[in-house]
Amino acid sequence: MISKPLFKQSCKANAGTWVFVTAIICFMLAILILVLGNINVNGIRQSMTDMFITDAVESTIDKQSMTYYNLTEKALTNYESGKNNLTIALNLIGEENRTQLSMGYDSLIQAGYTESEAREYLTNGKSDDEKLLINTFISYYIMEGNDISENKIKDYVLTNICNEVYEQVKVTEGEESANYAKLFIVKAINDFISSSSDNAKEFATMYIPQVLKGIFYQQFFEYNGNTIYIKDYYSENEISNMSSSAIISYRAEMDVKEQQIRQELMQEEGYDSLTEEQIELEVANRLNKYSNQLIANKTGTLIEELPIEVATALQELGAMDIYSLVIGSIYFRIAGLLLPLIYIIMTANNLIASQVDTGSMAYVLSTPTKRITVSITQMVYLIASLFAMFVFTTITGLICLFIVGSGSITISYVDMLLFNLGAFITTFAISGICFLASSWFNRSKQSMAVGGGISMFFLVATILGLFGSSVMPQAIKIQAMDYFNYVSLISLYDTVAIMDGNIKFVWKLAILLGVGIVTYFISIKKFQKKDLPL
Amino acid sequence: MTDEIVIDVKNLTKDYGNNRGIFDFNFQIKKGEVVGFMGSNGAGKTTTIRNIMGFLKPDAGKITVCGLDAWKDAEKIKKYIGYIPGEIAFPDLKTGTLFLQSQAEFLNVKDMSYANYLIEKLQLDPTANLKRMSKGMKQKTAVVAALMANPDILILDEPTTGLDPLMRVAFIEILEEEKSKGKTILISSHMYEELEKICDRVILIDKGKILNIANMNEIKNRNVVDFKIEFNNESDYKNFKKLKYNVIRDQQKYNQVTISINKSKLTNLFKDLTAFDVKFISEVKYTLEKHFSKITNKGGK
Amino acid sequence: MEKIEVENLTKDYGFGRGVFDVTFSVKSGEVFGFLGPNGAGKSTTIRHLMGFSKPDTGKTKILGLESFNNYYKFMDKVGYLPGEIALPTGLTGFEFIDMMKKLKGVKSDEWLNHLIKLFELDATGETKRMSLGVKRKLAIVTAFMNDPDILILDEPTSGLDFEMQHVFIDFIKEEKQRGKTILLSSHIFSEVDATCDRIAIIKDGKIVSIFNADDLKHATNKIYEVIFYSENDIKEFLKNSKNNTKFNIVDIQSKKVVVNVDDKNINYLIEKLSKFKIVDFVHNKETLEDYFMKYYKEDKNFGGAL
Repeated sequence: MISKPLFKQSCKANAGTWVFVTAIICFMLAILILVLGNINVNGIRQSMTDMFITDAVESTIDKQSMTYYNLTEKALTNYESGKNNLTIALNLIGEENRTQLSMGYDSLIQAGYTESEAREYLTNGKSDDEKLLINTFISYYIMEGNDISENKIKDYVLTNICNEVYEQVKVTEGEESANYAKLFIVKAINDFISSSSDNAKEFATMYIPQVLKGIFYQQFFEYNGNTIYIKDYYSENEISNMSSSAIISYRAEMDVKEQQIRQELMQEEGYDSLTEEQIELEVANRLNKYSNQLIANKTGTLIEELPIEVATALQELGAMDIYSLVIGSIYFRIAGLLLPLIYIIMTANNLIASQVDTGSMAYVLSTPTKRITVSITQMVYLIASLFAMFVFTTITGLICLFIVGSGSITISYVDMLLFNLGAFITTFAISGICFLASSWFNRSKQSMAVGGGISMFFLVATILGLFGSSVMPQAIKIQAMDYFNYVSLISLYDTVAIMDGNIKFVWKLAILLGVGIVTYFISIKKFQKKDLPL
Repeated sequence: MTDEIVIDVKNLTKDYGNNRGIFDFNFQIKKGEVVGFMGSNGAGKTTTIRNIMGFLKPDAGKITVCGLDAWKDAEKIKKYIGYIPGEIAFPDLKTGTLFLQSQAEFLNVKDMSYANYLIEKLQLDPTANLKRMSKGMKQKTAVVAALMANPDILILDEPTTGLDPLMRVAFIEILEEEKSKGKTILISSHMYEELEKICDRVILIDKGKILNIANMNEIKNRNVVDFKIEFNNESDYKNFKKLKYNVIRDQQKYNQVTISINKSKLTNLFKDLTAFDVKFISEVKYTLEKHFSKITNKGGK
Repeated sequence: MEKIEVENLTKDYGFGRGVFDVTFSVKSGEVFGFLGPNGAGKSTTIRHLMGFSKPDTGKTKILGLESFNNYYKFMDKVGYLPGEIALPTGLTGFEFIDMMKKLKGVKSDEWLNHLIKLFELDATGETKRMSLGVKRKLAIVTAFMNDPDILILDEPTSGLDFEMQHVFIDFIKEEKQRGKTILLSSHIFSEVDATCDRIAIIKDGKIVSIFNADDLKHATNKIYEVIFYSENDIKEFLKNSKNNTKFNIVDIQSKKVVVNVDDKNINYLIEKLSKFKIVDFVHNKETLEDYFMKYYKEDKNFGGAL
């Protein structure tokens, strides 16, 4: 079905163009890979990533520092005063009374009284101060029994404080964090006791950074699919320092604010009628609110503060993979297709239409050569020459990837193979269209205009569509341009899917294959049947 | 035809080496004369014409056109000449009209009435795309371009090659018109029939040398004529042969003789022939081709 | 079965162009001439014979096989010389010869070499740099390299200088001697005149005449111009010839008479003329061109076909 002499002549007539095109696209690809592989293209991406990461880490450390300082300082202060108060309270009752009370409480409970009824009974007729003392003892007794050793008192106060913290944290951060906070406070207070510091605030200021540095240094988290180790970014000292500064400035602000609040309160109406307790409560409230606000403000990440589009744009820019854009989308779908398309347009025309136009086809058809043999021979030449072209680019690509080393380039050998296969199938489809134009029309002008026009239209549409496609970062992307992708056959060559390992590129290439097969088939049929003006 | 010499070629030599070129050409063309150049490809026709047009410089010899040196005053002689080259290749303009307008500018033709007359007479559509024209149309366009300035001298290099018979006839008729207006025409060809029709003289060239200059008048108006006479029976044939006619060809098996006879002897011939049973009389024409083949002893059949 | 048959071939390209109900056949060993100006339909007819186009109605056959569907079956016995000289690109002359050799399945170089020598073909160099004449020779050599039984020639000598034209015409005559069947399409009278046995004249897509070349060359019906010495002689002659049935007076001009007579009556004319003094006796032979122009004289508007 193939005429060898005709095939040979086609080779001779088109070899020059083929060699020229193949040499140039191999050269282009080589330069591209070698250059991109050796420069830090992803530098910006890297620094953007770094910026986001450090910003996230820092704000977390700040936030944690301030929050835990807050908790710890309060807890420690409350522990001190609580333990003291409790000790005094229990001593005030005296041992005899304590025993009496505890036995009385037990029998009441056994008799079926509820806790609040028992309390009622036991505090009946006493003064407010006495009531307070009795209730305090009963609470203690329920938890720790009659023994009022130092340890027990400590544990009791500790438990109370922990529960307080638990309740407080559960509201804002959830149960898991609340449990963790509880454990943290236990540890902090124990450390406080064993360190025998007397200033809770100072202890907390020093303690938190020590703890955090230990925690954070070992931590890692996921960012854009990568595992980020914090120790790659910060040393233990740096973490500790960051935490310290956060706490210190937090303290300073809180102090200033407290002064401010007191001033304000004094200015307010009804200040004179407030008791000291009420004043302290109010101050504590407002200070608390302020503290929350402060923590939230200080620790908002950079990203959270930007307008949403800018934030997304920056993140995308940071996440953008230059290699997949330049090699995958720009080279293999556009720059590297341009010359092969020109080769196809010219050669498809030379193989049939041009020979009918000039009349040289008459020589071939004046021999016992069937028209279908002519069609098939020329078709085989065109497809084989395209295949050979992409074999060369594949080899070039693989060699260059090897030279550059797969370290910095995010394109694997398999990717390169698939890219070339996809490019071949795409040009196969377009060559079918051009071959059809060449077999259909009798004049070179018409064949080139239709075949070339359609091919170039696809290419230009793909270029324009690139700006609306997913590989373009939001900063540059123009969504409306995506429509161009729907009118170009080249869109079925999905390099993004290849790089992502998404199987959908297979059926898309299958469609292209189908286009090629159908157009070649129609070409052969048409050439067989039509009148030739030879 | 007057006696004024418009083209004078003296000892013209142009040597391209390897015995190619033209050597020692001598001829003169008078005003109103139509002269033909006959010869095979490579004989020297185009070279001669190019020398006359001043495109080439002679190695030796001199050419004057209307008294001006063809090489030195090349641009001056162009005023008098309308030229149709052998290969019609137009400049890169879109249509015939544009080309003719451009030519008109070059030739300083202000009045396009003659050009339009020719366009109509030739039924040329000058708005057609220059590149897509057939040879016939290109020829017509070239004719209009050459004639529009109404030049006194026409130089045509193989103008009818590739034209079909109707075109050829049309073309010859235009030349005859020009001739009747008194124009001087130099036309080269390798078709005898054309030159025979319109030329006054024909110059035969071969391998760079002039072999012969034939005067068409003499050829057409020879006073000798050849007849092929066939007889119905052998005895008549034999008996006729006994008469004193000049037999130049004898075909015994057909009972046929070809005689060459002076026109003054025609009456005698007819008188003699009444005695015989003639099958047919047919004239063997003396053509330019025959004339030249006698001279060269080759070509033509 | 004739070698080449065209039966009621009609192909209408619109605007009056095409061929309409063309019928003729070429016998074995015959040289058939197809004469007409450009656009008359010669190339169209040949195109159908070669299977390049499909008829609207009618058939063309070579060796009894219908062309459009069976061309590849008889092509090895056909030598085709196209009118346009456009050779495939990218080849030297020798490469082109080689390619055609393989396409035609020519086994022996003998005939090929004979042709190369005969036409003095120098096939070195790229075809695109060759002069028209050399290209034409290349085309001729490759068309006949398989020593085909049937030759189809479309304007074969156009582009050749007249020496080569003669070589070619001799070649055709020799092929005819060897019994080949030849269809020659042309508008060059000399080559048709020199080689053809039968000639068809085609005009505007229709065959207007088919005749034997010999009938024209040796037409028995002749026209003579007779110039008498004196006016009295003419008058006398005309008086004598009045009411005769053997020849016609076609034209009379002072001393000249144009006579139309059939060969069988020539003796009668000779007898009548012998009585007078004859100054000139010219035989107006009708050439092929004259005969051809008869069909076109209404058409002589310089238009022809563009």
